[in-house]
Amino acid sequence: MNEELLRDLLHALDLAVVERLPKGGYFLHGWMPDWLAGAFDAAPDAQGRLGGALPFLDHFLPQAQNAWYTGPEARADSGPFAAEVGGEDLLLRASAITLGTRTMLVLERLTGEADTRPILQKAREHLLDTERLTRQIAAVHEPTATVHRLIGDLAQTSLSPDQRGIVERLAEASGKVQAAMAPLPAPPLIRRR
Amino acid sequence: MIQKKICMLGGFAVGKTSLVSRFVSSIFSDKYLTTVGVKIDKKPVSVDGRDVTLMLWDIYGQDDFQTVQPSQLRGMAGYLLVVDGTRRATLDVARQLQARATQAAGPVPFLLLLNKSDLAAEWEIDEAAFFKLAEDGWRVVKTSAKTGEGVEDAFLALARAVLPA
Repeated sequence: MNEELLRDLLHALDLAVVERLPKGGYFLHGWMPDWLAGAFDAAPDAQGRLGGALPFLDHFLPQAQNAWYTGPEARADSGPFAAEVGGEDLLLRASAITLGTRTMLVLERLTGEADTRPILQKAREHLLDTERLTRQIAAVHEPTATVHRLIGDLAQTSLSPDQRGIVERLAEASGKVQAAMAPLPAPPLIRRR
Repeated sequence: MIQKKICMLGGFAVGKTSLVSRFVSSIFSDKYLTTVGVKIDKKPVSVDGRDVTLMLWDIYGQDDFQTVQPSQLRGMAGYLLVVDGTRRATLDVARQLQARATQAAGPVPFLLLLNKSDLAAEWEIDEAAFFKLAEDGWRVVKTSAKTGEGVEDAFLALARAVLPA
């Protein structure tokens, strides 16, 4: 594959490919994606250094080196990591692979379906809503049980026929509330007297 | 310049990112934005006349969707375990993460931050739990990323603990 084709391919895929040179240092192949411009010390067609610009890479490089030294089948993936480049918050992923004898680092910006932030944001917001709802249920459980008990106590006292009718209706309604609350999980925070 | 890796650990939505933003940039936002992956911030500090750069690893919250990986904890000099005082379950998550951190990095210094002290009226973690943690030998600090209460003290206390004597 010639350099021009490689450059066009990487551009189309929006990938940055960096080769670790045998004597140290790194070489950026193809082109510098816009989203990465400014993160590295060097121009696209010159030897560059990776250190410092993306601090997470300093952590990932030992893992990458392990993969490179292991052999051509080995690969290391960084998982998603966030970085601020040029004032923009990026979600990135790095992969270390070996092509023949050449050790490569591929940097990818996670967008679209690969960017799981929107889904996880929604999922965690739902979880927080569920937690809030559970706390509200906990706040209602004990008072409603107390009301039901008090209605039962009241029914044992001497009441006029009209009063007894009211208490019976209260007991029925309270019983329905208790039945509706019964399947709801009782949170461990409820302190039973 | 000495550099020390400090990890922020805790359940989701406990305020790890907000604590880092407060400490590094003195800013706070009420809007909850979930963290995916890892974000590293640097903060140079001076502790007892010694300069050190804290490499703050803001790691996504531990929950059913994402699990903190041991590889992310390796090499850390210390960590801040963050708990949301208004959500008791986050204390259980913190205990799990403390065990995992010890397994991955050994008995490195850590502090437990009981965050959201500005919402004390809504707290589910009571004084009894607080004293139990202290009895277990945990160093506990009440913080609020919103007001800044306890934040700088906590980070500097950990920085002091991770620096060699």
